Amino acid sequence: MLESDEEDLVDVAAVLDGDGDAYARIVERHNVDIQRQMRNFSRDPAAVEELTQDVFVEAYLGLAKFRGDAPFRHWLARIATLTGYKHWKKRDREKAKVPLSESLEAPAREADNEGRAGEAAKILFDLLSLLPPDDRMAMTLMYLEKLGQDEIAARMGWSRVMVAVRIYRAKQKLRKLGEKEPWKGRLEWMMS
Amino acid sequence: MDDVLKNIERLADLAAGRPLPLPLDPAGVMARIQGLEIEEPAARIPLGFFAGGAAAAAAAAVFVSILAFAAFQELASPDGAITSLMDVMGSMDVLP
Repeated sequence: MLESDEEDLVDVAAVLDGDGDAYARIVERHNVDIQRQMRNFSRDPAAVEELTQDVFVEAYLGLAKFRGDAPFRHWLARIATLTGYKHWKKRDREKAKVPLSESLEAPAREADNEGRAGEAAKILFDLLSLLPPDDRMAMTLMYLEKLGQDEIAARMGWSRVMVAVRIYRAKQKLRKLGEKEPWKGRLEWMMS
Repeated sequence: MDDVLKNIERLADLAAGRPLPLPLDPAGVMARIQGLEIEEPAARIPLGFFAGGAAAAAAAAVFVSILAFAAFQELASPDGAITSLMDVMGSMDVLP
């Protein structure tokens, strides 16, 4: 157990005892990691900030349910993943209702300062956004959060078989997309 | 593994090198939480509402079906010819 995990346990107990400052400490300790996670769900910095806040509000409302048998950061990461998943599902429903031009993600203002890494993230985000939310989630957790299949299953509450099927299906789709333009050119240019 | 998937994997490794985001001021989160607490107990409604709402809806559905069945029996058998569900189903040739 990390030192920060112990601090989390102390602060969670303090919040449940009515100490609001303790929750500010939790937010301070974890917000960079949660923002980094939420960047996988949106390229709009304002949306990332709002999603990050959503995660901490959800966590606060459900804090009494945290049992402490796993580190708090794992519990929080799961809430973050499910919050991002809800965001995609919502966007997916909206996309079906409004013209495509209005439903596109806001342009990535940050990516300009992030050089090659930012460009890679942009291409990957755009490519994965062509998958249905469930497949996209499996690939995001695998490629960007570097989770194994068991961890993805635990994070999403899916069976191990379901994860394997989703990854297989998503890879097939990505392979097909990546063999055609403009993705073929973008991927090759990036790797040159 | 073919080139496309290999390239995507490399892309993900490159993307992981993005600089860390700037820390957020916890005040924004705390203000939202405070806003919810001012509206207490409404703040807790979303969670409780769904659980309570689902239970209430299920109970209401059962109650309405009982009423509907009773009304159906009343209408279908004013002279008391049809007195039970088995009779109703039997009369509709549902049962052998």
